[in-house]
Amino acid sequence: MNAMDRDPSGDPLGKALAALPRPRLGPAFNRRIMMALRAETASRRAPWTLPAEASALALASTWMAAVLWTLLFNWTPERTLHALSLAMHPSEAGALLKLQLAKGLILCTQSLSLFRTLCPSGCFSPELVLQWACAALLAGAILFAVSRGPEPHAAWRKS
Amino acid sequence: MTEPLADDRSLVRRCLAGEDAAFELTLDLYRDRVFSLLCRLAQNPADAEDLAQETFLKAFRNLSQYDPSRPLLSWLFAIAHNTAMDFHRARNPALVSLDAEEAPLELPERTPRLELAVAASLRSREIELVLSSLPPLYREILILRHQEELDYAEIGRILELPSGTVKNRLFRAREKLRTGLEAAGLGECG
Repeated sequence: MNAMDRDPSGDPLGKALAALPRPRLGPAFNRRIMMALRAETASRRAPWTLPAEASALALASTWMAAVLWTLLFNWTPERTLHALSLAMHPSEAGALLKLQLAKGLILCTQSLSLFRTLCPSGCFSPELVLQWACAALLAGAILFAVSRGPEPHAAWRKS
Repeated sequence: MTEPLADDRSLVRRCLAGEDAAFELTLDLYRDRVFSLLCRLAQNPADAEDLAQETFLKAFRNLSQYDPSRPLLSWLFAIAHNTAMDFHRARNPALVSLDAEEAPLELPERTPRLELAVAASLRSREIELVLSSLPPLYREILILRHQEELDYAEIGRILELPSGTVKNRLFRAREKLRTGLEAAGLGECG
């Protein structure tokens, strides 16, 4: 071993090697690693806690189910008013329709809160997108229901 | 460089506590140095990036095994070394020998003028070309010693070799590089 090997600073060959440019990685590399780490963390989470994707899917499904259920059985003005008008005055039927809409909203808010609780903060970015999408869907459903308006049932009109 | 940093210990503690910012900081501090070593070993930036990703993920998964008496970078280099060797073995099992040194070198006559000429005139690109023609175990030890400025003991811990073998391998690597530079006509510069 010669003196240069003991002291790289006085070694021309070593200096030349030290002066070689270092290839660099951009910040995108950090993002790749962090995403992979988060995915691993999510897959190791306790079984009763849903991973972000499953939560997003469950949230979307619940919203869709809530909207469909209310559209099919509660919010269809004809069906609601048909049932209601058999027993009560149309003014009360209109009030009850509003009540059904409020109940639907409460149901949807509750399902959102439930899934927010299940999902740790920061790991659930699809939630926001889904919230907006489902809120838009719900708003569409409400507008649809309201635009049809409460129609008195034919049997009641005749009476 | 070979002194363990108190910052390394606190960084690892924060990573073990699950702090995202600590992982990011570790990547910011050491990403390029690990990637640089892997580039010289893989000789392909895309492969080197994949290897760097694997290295950091292995490190982060096994942070509890980190020995705080060593610098974190050396530990990362050791993981990078093993990852790169696995990669080379998978690609070409006959290519990499970790322990077996080659037959004694036929060394040319040492000329002090050569080193002066090299220092005066070598260009990075030409060194890179000659360096890339060396076997990976020589490229690696040259980079660890001369670019990362690690001492023999630390290189030995990274490569899992005794210090004597490190010195021997480094000597051979330098001679190979010197021979390559001469063959490329760079010894006559200046």
